[in-house]
Amino acid sequence: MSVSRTLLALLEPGPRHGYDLKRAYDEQFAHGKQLAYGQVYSTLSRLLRNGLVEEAGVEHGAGPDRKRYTITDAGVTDVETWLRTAENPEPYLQNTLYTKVVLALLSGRSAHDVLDTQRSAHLAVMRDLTRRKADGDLADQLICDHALFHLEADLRWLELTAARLDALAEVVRS
Amino acid sequence: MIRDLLLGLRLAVGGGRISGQALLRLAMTTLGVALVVAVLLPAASINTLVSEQDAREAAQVPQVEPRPGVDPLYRLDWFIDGGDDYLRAVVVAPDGPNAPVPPGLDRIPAPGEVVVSPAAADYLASPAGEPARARIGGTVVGEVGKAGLGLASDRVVYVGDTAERLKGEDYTTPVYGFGAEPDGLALDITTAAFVAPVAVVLLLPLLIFVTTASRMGAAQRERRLAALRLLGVSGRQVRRIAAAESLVGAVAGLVLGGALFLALRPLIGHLDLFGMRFFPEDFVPSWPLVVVIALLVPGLAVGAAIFGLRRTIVEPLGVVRQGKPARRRMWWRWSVAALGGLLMAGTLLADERSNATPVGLALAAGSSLLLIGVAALLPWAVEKLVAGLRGGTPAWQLAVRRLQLESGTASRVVSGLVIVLAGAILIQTLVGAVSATESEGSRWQAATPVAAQVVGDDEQVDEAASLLAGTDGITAVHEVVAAPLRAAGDGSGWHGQVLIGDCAALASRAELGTCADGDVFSVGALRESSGLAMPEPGARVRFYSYGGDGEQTDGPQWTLPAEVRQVPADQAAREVSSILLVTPGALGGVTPSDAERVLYVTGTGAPARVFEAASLAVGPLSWEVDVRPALAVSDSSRLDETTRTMRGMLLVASIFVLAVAALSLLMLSIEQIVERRRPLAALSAAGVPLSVLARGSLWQNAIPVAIGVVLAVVAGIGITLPTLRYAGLSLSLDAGLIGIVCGAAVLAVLAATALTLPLLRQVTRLDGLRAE
Amino acid sequence: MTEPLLAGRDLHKSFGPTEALRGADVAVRAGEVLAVMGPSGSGKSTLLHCLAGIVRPDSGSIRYQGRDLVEMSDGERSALRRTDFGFVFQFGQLVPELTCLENVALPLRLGGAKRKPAEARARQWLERLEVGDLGDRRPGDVSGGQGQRVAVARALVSDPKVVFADEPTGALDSLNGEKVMRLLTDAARGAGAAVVLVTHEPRVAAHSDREIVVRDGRVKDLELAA
Repeated sequence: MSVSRTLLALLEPGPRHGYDLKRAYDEQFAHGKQLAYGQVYSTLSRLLRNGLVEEAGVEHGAGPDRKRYTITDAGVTDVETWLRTAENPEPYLQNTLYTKVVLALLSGRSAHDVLDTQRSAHLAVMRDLTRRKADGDLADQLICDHALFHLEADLRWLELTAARLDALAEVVRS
Repeated sequence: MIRDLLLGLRLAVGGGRISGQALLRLAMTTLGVALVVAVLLPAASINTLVSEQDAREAAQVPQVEPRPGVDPLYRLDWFIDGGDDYLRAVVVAPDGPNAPVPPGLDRIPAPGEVVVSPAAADYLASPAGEPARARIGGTVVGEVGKAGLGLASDRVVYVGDTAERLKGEDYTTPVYGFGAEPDGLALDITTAAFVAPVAVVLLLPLLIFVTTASRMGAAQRERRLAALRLLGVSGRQVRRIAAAESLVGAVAGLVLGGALFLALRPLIGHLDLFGMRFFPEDFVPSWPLVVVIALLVPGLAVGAAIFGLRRTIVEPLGVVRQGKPARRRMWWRWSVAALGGLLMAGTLLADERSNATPVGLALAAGSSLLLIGVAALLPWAVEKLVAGLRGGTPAWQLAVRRLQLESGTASRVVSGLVIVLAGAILIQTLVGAVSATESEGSRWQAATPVAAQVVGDDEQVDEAASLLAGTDGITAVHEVVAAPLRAAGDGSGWHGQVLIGDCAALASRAELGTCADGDVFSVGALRESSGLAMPEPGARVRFYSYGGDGEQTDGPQWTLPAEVRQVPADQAAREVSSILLVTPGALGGVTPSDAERVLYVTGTGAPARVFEAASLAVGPLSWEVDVRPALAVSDSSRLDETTRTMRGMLLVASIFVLAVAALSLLMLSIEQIVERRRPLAALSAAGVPLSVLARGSLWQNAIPVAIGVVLAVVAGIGITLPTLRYAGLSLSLDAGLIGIVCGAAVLAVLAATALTLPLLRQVTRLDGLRAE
Repeated sequence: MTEPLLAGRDLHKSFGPTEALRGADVAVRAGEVLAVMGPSGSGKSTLLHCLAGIVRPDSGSIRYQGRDLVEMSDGERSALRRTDFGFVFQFGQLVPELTCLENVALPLRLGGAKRKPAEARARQWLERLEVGDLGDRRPGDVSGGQGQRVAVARALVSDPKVVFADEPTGALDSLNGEKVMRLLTDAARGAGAAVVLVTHEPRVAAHSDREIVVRDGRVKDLELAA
């Protein structure tokens, strides 16, 4: 789960203060585990260093939390690529996937494309597991099945999310 | 309890969400029960019908005992033979003002006045009634009321005349009153024995129909009942709910059946049964029987519904069938058939026409048992036969396999058909054989056949002869004298008749060859065995006469000439077998003591027309002469009509039962298609043409019906042959009737299949593929 | 790339006011196992029915071996389904009164084959699907998994080019479903038949070579676009 890419994507709609950024993140993705200020500023400084964001001016009574940041063209490309790349199908992906879907919705991209891309990647792995199962012994089969059931759970979640995209979009954009 | 029934009622009709199949079940149950009721109500009315008729007829019996203060009514029965039809005329004349009025009449008709029954009025108004009208004469002044008739079809005419004219007649009786005790035997055993099997034969397929209907859509209903069990309804309550559901159809059927009966009752008055028409208002079912019907028929439908659940336990989580259905119990089926067969076989030991009552009973009981046995064995026969079938086209395979899986219902449906068809063959063959026998005998006719015979007293015969002589279309009027004659001696020998007339007259009765005055001809018996030997030439014979009390009085003796010419019976008119034909010269002056003068009328053209001409010609003599058509003209056609009526009734009954059977088959097909919705849709999706599936349905309907028809024809002939043998008759199958019924069976199967086609088409569309 | 065996383009189909398909594109290559996925009510089954020629789409084209199914008559499509396609449905497709063997032999018999050779071939197929001992039983007397194997045998017995399977394991438990799917795909691959597999279960779809997703009656088949 990449905090830096999430913050970068949250900057895409427009410039924000570090404090706003933290609030937006906590609202959508924290789920009871808020982001520390320190992590926000260290991440932003790494993004600055890589040229993915830049400072967009300082307000009066400046302190470190009064700085506004904006995304650069390189930053937009980075977000774009990240969203379009399937996550490596492995257990406990939901956080990343959920973040991607929400960010896609927030940025006006097709969340369906995100889900479809992920489904293909998942199915490719499942196909492979299914093939291995057919050739393997009972122990292989049980191990493969374990993985298959987890992947299937992911995919079911994907289907469910896809079916609820409209509802999710309303919640996210409000 | 009541709550369960109400719940069942709501389930049957409630909510407006009634499914198509449930609606069909309701409609079919209603129709079936209605038909059962419509058949039963007239049957329950027969008692009233017969006793009403009996009471009316008893009230018409004339009383001849003189009563004080009552003037006699002179009354003469006059039977007017109209050839194909006849009329009963009663000539009446009061001998005073206090004479009794016959029942059904307002007053005694005055001379020249005529009162006619409605049926007689119709007949007299028709062209065929013209001769009778001419002979009755007078003017019609009124109608004979119901009280004066037994049946609505009775042709009765009251003719008024003068007492002076009637008094002198031989057969006139003075009547002082009317009415006698009714026989009290309201429904005699014969009627019951006739009605009961007919009712059973008509009802059996209907009952099967009702049972089939009430079990329609069983699977769907059982699922619904299971849902109720899940809600906490007990097994006993489920049965009550199921009962209430079928009660709706049964009660609706009861009402519809009653309405049908009332609506159709007036039509009974127009229905001609063997020339009889009944008064519709006499068809009043007796109350106890109505109550029995009202309770029994719905009870039966409800019972069938519960019976259908007997091997099914409706459990909350679905329907459990208790194991395989019980094995068909065969022993009683075989016993019934075997008992019937034994009884029939037993009659083979009896001599032909030995006229023993036990033999008749054995034949009747045997044929009935055999019929029931055959019907009971049919499901088994279909099962066995179908089990042996293999291969064939896919359509045939589908049908055969389906029947192998469950042929019971289809066979039950066809059983009723078998009984009716076999019974129809039995009755038809018997009637056919009897009528064939009646028209056996001599068919000989003179070149110009005798069309009418006129009989009467001397005076009237002379007058009739002169009236006939000048009539168009009549070529000759031969006069003969008929007299009884017997072998001389103690009276134990030959008894017969002699016809005395000139050669021309006698030639109209038999093929004489050459004839001269003084010849005597002896016409042989039709059968060698029957009757006593004709007197030999030269034998002494004696004329005799009957007195008013039926006693024989000896007349003069006569000796037959040495030469008597033999004429075989088939060279003479039918009514002159075992008779002597004598020319006047041969009598040598001996005069018969009791002679009746008969005029034989011949003419050109059809005998019926000549008879009409003769009747018209002697019209002025009215009842004083008796005009009869020659035997050959009339009887055969009257018998033909009876056979035709019988045939029509059998045909109607067979077609009715066939229609009911077809309807049952249709319901069965519909249910099976609905049950096999998914496989059928899957087959159609896989490219199986609808025609293959339709042909499958066709074979499935056709196989049991075909087996049934073949079995019925075989059984019908089988039970007919011993009866025919015993009666000494030869087999004459009515191929037409069998053909029509077989053709109708084919049509019924085709129709039942065709009617399922829309459903089949609908099921094989996409819907059937959808997961539930 | 090679011409697809069966290709539907821009398929539309409505049932009354309901639009089941609104612009579906799909291609099936010879011998491939194609999974058709999507939520229920998305039009998967309708797409299968259209591709198989059971239902005629309102518009669009379905090319199969140089012919357009949309333009074929009802009878022609029936004949095509009989000779070139095989079908496996979720349940209840076997004729209850025929034995399993007769059920499998039925497509051959309808194609005009004599009973003996047809049943011999049907028996071979039953054995291939490991239900050779069920030949004389009726479908009502065998388990769900066994019944589906008989159904697979029936779908494959006439050497179809495409087998259409609509939720073939929908009524089975995981293990039986797994078994049926393996037998179905192995047998189809062995016979060189393509399989169009409609399912909403990822583990069933994992038996495919490729998947497409139907959503709101629309499919974008990337193969076709390529």
